[in-house]
Amino acid sequence: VSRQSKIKFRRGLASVVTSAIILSAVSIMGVMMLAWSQTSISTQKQEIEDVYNTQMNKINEDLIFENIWFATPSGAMTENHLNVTLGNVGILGLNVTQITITNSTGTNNTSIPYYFTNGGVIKSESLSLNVTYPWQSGDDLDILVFTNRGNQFITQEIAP
Amino acid sequence: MTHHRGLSAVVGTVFLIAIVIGAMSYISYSLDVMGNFSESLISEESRQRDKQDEAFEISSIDITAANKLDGIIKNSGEIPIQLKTLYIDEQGVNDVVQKFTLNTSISPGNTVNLKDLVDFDMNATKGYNMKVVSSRGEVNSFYVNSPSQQKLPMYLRTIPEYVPSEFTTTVLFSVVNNMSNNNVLYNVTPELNATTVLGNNVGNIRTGPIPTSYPVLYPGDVATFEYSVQLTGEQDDSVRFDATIANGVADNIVSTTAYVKEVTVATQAGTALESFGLSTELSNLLDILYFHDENTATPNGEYQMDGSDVTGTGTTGMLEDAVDFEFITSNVTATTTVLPGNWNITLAYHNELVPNGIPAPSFAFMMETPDGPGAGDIFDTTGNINKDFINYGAPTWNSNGGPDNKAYFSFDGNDDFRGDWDINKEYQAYTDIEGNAVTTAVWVRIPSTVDDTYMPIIRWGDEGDNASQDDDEYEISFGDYSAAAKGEFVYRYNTEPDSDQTLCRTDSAYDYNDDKWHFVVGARDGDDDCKLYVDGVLKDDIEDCNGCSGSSFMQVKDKEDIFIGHDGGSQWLIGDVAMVMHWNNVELNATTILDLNNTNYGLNATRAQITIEKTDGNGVSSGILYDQEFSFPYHDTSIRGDSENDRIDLQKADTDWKKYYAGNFTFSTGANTTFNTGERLKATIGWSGDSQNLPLHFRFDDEDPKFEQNNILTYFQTPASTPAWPTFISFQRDEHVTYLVFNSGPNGAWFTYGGTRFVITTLDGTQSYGGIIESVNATSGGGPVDSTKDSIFIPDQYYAELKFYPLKNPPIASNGGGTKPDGGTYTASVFLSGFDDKGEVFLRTISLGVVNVEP
Repeated sequence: VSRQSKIKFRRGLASVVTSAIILSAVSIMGVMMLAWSQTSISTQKQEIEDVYNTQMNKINEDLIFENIWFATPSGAMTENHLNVTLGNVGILGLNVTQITITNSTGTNNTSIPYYFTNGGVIKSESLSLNVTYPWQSGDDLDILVFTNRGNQFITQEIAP
Repeated sequence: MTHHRGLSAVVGTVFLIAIVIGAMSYISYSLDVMGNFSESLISEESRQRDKQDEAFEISSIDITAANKLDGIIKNSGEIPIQLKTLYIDEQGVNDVVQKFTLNTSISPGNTVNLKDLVDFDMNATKGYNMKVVSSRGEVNSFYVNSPSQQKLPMYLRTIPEYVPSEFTTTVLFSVVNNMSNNNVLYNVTPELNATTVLGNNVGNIRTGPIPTSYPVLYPGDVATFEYSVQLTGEQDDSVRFDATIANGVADNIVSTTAYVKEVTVATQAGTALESFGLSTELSNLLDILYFHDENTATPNGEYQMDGSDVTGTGTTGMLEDAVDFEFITSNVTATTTVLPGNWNITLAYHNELVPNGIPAPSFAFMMETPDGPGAGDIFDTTGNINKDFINYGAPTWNSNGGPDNKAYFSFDGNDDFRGDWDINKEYQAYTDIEGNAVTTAVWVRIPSTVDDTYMPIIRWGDEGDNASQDDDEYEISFGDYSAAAKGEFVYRYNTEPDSDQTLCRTDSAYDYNDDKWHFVVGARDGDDDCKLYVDGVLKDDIEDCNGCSGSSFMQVKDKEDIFIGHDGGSQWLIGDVAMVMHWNNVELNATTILDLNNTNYGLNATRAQITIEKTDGNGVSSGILYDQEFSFPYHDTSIRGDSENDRIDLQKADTDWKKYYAGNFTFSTGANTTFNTGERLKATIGWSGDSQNLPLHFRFDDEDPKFEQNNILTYFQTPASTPAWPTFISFQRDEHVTYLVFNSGPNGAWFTYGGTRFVITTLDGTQSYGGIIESVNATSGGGPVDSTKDSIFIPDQYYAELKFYPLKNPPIASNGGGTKPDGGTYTASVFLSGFDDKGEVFLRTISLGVVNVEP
C-alpha cells in the first residue's frame, strides 16, 4: 500500500468518526436545548398566567362608597364614629382588609387604620362597617379602603 | 462529503422543525394570552363605559297628603339602570340611617315613583339627606327641606335701604346651591326675622316671601325670595333682617339693615295714605262685616264679607250637611290692627225639628211661646196644620226649666188643657190614625205628689161625648185606672169603644211620678200592635190585646177632639208638658227614638264648626284665630206667630223675617291681631255631623228692612280695627265711583286735580279706562276738584271720600262722551297726587286688584 493510499484510507475513517461525533454532539445539544426551551416556556407560561390572572382580577375589582354617616356615641359605640357602607359593583367578590381614616384638615393629620378579617363582599352586595374616629365638626377626612388584592379606594367627607 | 451533508441536513431539519414547533407553540400561547387579555380589557372597558353612560335624576320630591315620601326618579341616561338602595338620614337623629332596598329597573327615559317603592313617613318641617344607589355604583344625593350640614352662599339686600316712615321697602334674599357633589336641594324655604335695632317695632313684614319656597334647586341655581316690609318709626330708626333657610346650618345666616329716613325731595314721600277700596257710604265703615251672597272677586268662590249694605233678596244657608259656608273679606290694603276684645258672629236662623235621617213629624208643638195666635194658643210648627190649638183653663207657661232647660206648660189638674183643635178635614192626613203605623212622642214631667190612677197626657177621642157619639180612643196617659198601672206610663188605643183595646205600659217596678222629665214615645206598626219607649228605651212591646178582633180603625168622630192634658170628660193632667210630636203613617224605630231622646232642644241644639282665620290674598290660611265646635240654641219658628192668620211655621217663606232668631257665636282675643297688607279675614261655618244635631237654616244678605229693624241680621263683628275693614269692589260702569282713603298721618294733606285718577284695565291688558277726580268729601263739607281748585284739607286721622267721573276712554270730566267699559272684571288702580301741610309732595299708586264692573 502506498503511503498515498494509506493516507487516503485514514482520511475516510476520520471523516466518519468525526461525523458521528459531530452528529452526536449536535443531537445531544439539540435535545438539551429542546428540553431547556420546553421547561423555560412552561415556566414563563405559568408566570404569565399568574400575572395575567392577578392583574385582571385586580382590574375587575370595583367598589363604591354607598353611604357614609357620622355619629356621636350611641349604643355599643362609646366614641364618635363613622359608618361606612361599601358596595361591590365589580364582577368579582372581594375582601376589605383595611379602612384608614386620615384627617386632612390643616396640620391635624391623625391617621388611624382599622383592619378587618371578615370584610368579604360578594358581587352586587354591600357591607357596612363602623369605624371609631375622634372626628370634630368640620374635619375633612380621607377614607381609604384596601382590599386583599391590593386595590385602594378613597373618598373624602366633611364631618358635620 | 456528500453523505455528511445529507446527514447534517437531516439533523438540521429535525432541529429546525423542533425549534419552529416550539416557537409556534409559544407564539400561539402568547396570542391566546393576548386574546384573553384583550377580551378582559374590552369587557372591563364596556363595564366602565356603561357605568359612565348610566345616569338618573330625581325629577321631583314631594310629601303626600298622608305625609309619605313621594318623588319621581327618571332614567336620564342611555342604558337601562337598576336602582338598588335608598338611604334616608333624618337630620338631628343620631346614628340612625334608614336603608330601603329598591331593586327596580328603569328603561332609558322612563320614571318610577318613590311612593311605589318605599313607605316612609315624612315630617314636612324636618330635613332629610337622601341617597339613591344604582347597581353599577351611580350614587345620587339629594336634600329635602335642608342643605344638611353644608353652608350655602346667601345674599340679603334691602332696596331701598332708606325709606320714610310708613313706606315699604323690598327685602331680597338669594340662596345659591353650590353644594358639593352636585347635590340637589328640594323644598328650599326661607326664614326672615326682623329685629328692631333702634325704635319700636320698626319693621313689619307685609307680604312675602314670594315665592314661599322653591320646590327644587339644582346645582348652581339661585333661589330668590322677595319680601315687602313696611318701616314705621322716627328718623334714623332701624331694623335688622336676618335670613336663612329652614333646617339650615346654624350660623349660615345673612343680615341687612333698613333705616327710616324722611326724604325731603322725592317722588314718593309725605303723608301716609291707606286705601279702603270703594264704597258709597262712609257710615258703613264700622267693625261690622255683613255676610253677602255674592262670591265675585273672592279667591276661591267664598261668599263676600264686608261692611257694605246687605242687598238683594237674600239667601238661606242650610247648615245641615258637609258643605261649609265660607265668608271672606277683601284683602286689606294697609296693615290692619284689630284690638283685643270679642269677635262675634250673629246668625239670623231657625232650626229644623229633627236631626237628619229622622222623618219630619206630621205635627209638632214645641211650646216655645205662650203667645200664639190667640191668647195662649199654640200651633203646629211643621206648618202642616194651619190652625190654632186652643187654650182652655190657662195652663202656665214657663220660659225655662224644661228638658234641656227649654220652655214648657204646667197643667194644674183642674181645668187646664189644650184641645178642641179646630181643624178641618183637609188635615186628616196628619191626624187621622185609622189603622196606620203611627208614633207619638211627648216630653212630660209628673210631680211626686200625684196619686191618681189615670191622667191623660196626649189623647185622641172625647170621653165627654155621649154614648151615641162615643169616640175611639188613642192616648199616652199616666195610669189606666187600674191599680197595677198607677205611677206608670201607658200607651193604648181602643178601636171599639170600651171593648177592643191594645195597651202597653211601663213596668210597675218604677213609678214615674218622680218630678223628672221623661221622653215618652208610643209607636205601632198598625192595629193591634204597640210599643212603649221611655227615655229612649223600649219598655213594653208585648201588647195587652183585649178584644182585638174588632174594628181595626181608630175613628174619632170630631176631628177637633185631640187634647193635651185632658180626656174631654172629667180627667185632667197634673204635670208639665214640654213638647209633643206626632208622626202619622210612620213607626219610628228604637234607634231613631233613642236619637230623638238624646237630641238637645235647648242651648246645644245645633253644633257648628266655626273657624275664624287670617288668610293670604289667595285665601290660603295664614293663621287660625278660632277653630272649635260651637253650639247654637234651639229656635222654633212659632215664637213670632202673633195673630191667627200669621202663624210662623216651617212652611213660611224663607224671606219672612219672623222665622228667624238672632243667635250669637262669640270668642275673645287678649292681644292685638294684625293683618298684613294683602291678607284677609275668613269665617267658616261648618256642619258637625248628623247625630243628635238639629239642622240650622240662617238668612243672610236680605235687604228686607224688617231684618234690620228687628235686629235679626247675619253679620260678623270684630273688635275695633285700625283702619276699618275694606269692602269688595263692584260698581256700575256709569257710576261715579267713590274711593275712600284714610289719612293715617302724621300730616294733613290736599289732593290735587292733576294726578288723581281712577283707572281700570282689562285682564289681558289691552284696554284701559280712566276716571277723573270729581270731588273730595263732597257730602261732608268738601266739594268739587278741578284744574282751578284742589281738594279740601284732609287732616291727620281723617277719611277722604274721593269721587270720580264715570270711567271712560279717553277720560273725560263729564258724564257723557268717551267710550265706556264693558261689564266684566278688570284690574283697578288709583293714582293719588297731592301735597301735605309740610309742603311735601306725594304721589301714590294703589292697586285695588280685580274689580267687577256691571254693565
